[in-house]
Amino acid sequence: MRRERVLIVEDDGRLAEVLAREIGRGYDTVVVGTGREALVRAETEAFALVLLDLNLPDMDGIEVAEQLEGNEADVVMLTARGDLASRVRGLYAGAADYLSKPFQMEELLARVYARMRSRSRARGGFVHRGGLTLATDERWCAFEGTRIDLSAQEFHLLELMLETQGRVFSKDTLVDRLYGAADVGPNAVEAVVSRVRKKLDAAGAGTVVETIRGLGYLIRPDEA
Amino acid sequence: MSLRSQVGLGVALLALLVVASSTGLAYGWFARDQAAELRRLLLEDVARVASLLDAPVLGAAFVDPATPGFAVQIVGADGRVVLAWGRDEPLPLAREPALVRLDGRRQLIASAPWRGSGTIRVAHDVEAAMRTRADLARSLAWGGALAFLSSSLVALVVARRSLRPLELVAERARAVDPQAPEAIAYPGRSQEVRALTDALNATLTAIRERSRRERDFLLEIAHELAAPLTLVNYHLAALRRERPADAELRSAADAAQELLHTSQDLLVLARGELERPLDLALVDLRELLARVAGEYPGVHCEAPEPAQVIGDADRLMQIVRNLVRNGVQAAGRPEGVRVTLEAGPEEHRLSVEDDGPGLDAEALARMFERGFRRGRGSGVGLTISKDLVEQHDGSITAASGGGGGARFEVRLPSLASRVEVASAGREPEDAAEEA
Repeated sequence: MRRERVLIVEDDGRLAEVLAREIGRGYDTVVVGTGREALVRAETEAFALVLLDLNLPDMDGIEVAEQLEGNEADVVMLTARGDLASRVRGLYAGAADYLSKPFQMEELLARVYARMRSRSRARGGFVHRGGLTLATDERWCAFEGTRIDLSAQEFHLLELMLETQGRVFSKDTLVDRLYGAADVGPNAVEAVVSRVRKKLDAAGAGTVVETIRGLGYLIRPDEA
Repeated sequence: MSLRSQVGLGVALLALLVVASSTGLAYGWFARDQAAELRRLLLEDVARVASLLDAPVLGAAFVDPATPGFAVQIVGADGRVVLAWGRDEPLPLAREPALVRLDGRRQLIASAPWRGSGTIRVAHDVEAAMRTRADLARSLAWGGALAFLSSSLVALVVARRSLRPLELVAERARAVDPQAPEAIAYPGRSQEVRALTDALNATLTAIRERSRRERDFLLEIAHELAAPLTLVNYHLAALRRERPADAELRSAADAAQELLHTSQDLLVLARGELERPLDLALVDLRELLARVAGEYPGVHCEAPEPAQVIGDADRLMQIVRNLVRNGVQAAGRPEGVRVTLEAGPEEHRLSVEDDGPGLDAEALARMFERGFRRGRGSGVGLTISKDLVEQHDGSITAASGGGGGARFEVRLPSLASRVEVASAGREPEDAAEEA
């Protein structure tokens, strides 16, 4: 089986070399030093993950990240600048991961592997949790063989939360992810969550989406 | 003394001076005019009596019996009263008009010589006039006091009103966040207060600008150091794995790791990460603890159960690592540190106890203050840990441990305490929606 590929975008040659060596133990790596190169490579080749340093010589790393948003690859951002870090959060709202420099290599590798694992969970177009199956390519959902009919928004919510199980999604984040620029309030998200719960409950899946008081919603990861 | 009472008192004293001098002057003028008028009338009466005596008119009476309070006497050289109208007892002799008290009433008296050795003596009862004067004095005094009181009151109220904008500005100045000083808004029209507010705001702007430059500078340094620190740490750790027996290498690798974590702490402050929302997820404190224990081999760990919380994994890791690192530094070796994780229904407790020299009362009180250091530890680490714990709705305490060292305890709300419980398979939200 072909190894998955990681694109490393880092302009510091020494650090890029070390990253390539470490990540190269598990994946094929490609190293580029500029944002433009990164965009060209990401467009023409398939990567599972882009490790993106936000401080690039030719363009703003955030811009690169924005242009990569539709790409198949997951993005893990590296930044040493606090102002960038806050913009990253505003931009991605939990969709991608980021790590502050300086970091310990173990931490970075842990992030990369975690991303790859959650990717492989969804590999083949299926996400599972307990008896619940979400077919992300064919767009259907089932609990222990029983189909559950979901609207597009309901499906999107479950897909988002099941792909990153264990993360707390605030209502604001969900509004952003489900409705984008559309002008809807948190009530819309509450309604979607409420309908998803009813449908899952009716199918016998029990409580899947939990409310964390004052913070948002959580799907606990499978007890593995 | 407050500015308000100073202004109030000043105006009140001025009012007192004005009221006292004007009423005093008014009273003085009145009394002088009244006395002069009474004297003139009396002397006229004396002269008229003298002229009547020189050219007597038959049957003339000097005093109309219906005129009360007026008496005329002709007194001979021997002092005996020869003729008397209005009063029989002799009147005292007065070459100049004088005020005397006769029969308990104030009388103005005057005399004139009559036929060589005799005298004409006239008395005019002025009790009523004197009463009027006293009444006037009293009403002037009352009016003055009233004017003084009311002007003082008005002065106080005006002073209070005109100083209120100052209080408003002071209140807003107190509310300024020292971390991010925003300009103070002053909606009023008082020129002086506006000048003060402008001056304050100029200072605040300068402070803000300065701290922004400092922060930028720190971020610049951080950026420059980030890659080398990461690399040094990485290479030393790799070398150490290859040659685990090399003590010097171990020391260098520990120092590099130390440097990395300290700079991470400093960056949390410099980047203002404490003001940013957390990246929240389900985190097992036991897993974090295992990772930290791996970084400090030798530390005793007791964590029988998983302890799930909602938090930012990086930040929670930083808290645990800071506490363990602090303990190792205080004890001088990792074996002197004992970490216990107790999972509870409402909250989880993580305690880190060392067998180091312990904490005195001052250290206990100031442990989490920025810049306070005990021994060779970083003063920043504990301060940041406290901020981070509080950001997670938890608490941190420092105490003396059982073995003479220090004991730090962090309490964080458990996952169970944060999950909204569904009632009978139905979320409270849903019930509310249908109601």
